[in-house]
Amino acid sequence: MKVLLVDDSGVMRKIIARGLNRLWVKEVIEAGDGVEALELFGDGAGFDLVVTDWNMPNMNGLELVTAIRASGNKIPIIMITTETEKTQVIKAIQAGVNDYLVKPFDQDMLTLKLERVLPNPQSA
Amino acid sequence: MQLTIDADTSIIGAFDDAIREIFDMMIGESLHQSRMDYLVDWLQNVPKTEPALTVVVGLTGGLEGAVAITLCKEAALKWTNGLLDSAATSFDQDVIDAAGELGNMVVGGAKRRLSEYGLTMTLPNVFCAGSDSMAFPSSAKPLQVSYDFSGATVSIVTSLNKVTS
Repeated sequence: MKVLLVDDSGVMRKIIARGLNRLWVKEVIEAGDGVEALELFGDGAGFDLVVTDWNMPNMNGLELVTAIRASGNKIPIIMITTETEKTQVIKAIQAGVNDYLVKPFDQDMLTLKLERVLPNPQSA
Repeated sequence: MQLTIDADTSIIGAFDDAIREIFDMMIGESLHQSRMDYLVDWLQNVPKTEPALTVVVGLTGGLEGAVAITLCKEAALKWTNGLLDSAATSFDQDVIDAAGELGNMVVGGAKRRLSEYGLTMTLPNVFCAGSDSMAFPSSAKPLQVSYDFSGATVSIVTSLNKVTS
């Protein structure tokens, strides 16, 4: 199980990576913005999930999601953000986000969101 | 138009609610408000040498200006160690990043509660200084609200003007 984790905050990447590792994710590839994320993502082969922040320098999360979907890739994507305004949520869904986690969150909320979109190898 | 405590308790309340929720949810700490006052004589302040971090986030929209969140050293370390289950004893990149994330979440949380203003926020910038090192333009009337938790202090300084179109 391989996850691309995109956030400009190193601390937030650590928190989310810890949540992923507590589940069945063994490999977490980290990127600090959308540009770096797209380079690491390539054609998406081998990745099972993208978790991305919205508000980032260079290329934000919404632009990243749009770019991934424009390539035809249907990988599950979770957006983690402080944005909750209806218009913003609709923008994210229209861009192709599968689920949404609002900051602040606790470990249980994070786990719930990850479990909802991560393919569980035990059920395969 | 400058903000006043009496007229704009909803704005102060939004930041108050946001920071309390974040500390409770992310590291299980309850904040106790200890002080609220306008920073009127910052030019007379002699910067203290006590280490502190300040994260500044700009806002535009129906309110314009900046919000600064200052953490004393103890607060910055407790916040970081609570987030990461770590044992930092001095400022490092994790502590800086954690302060930045706190600013992002507090201002984001307040923005969510102040949706009628249609606010847009900038990325956070972190400075290795406390609120005693801040200075403001003469048009500003910054308000500081301080909180204590577990022997540490965190403060929010709002310097915002309402935009009248």
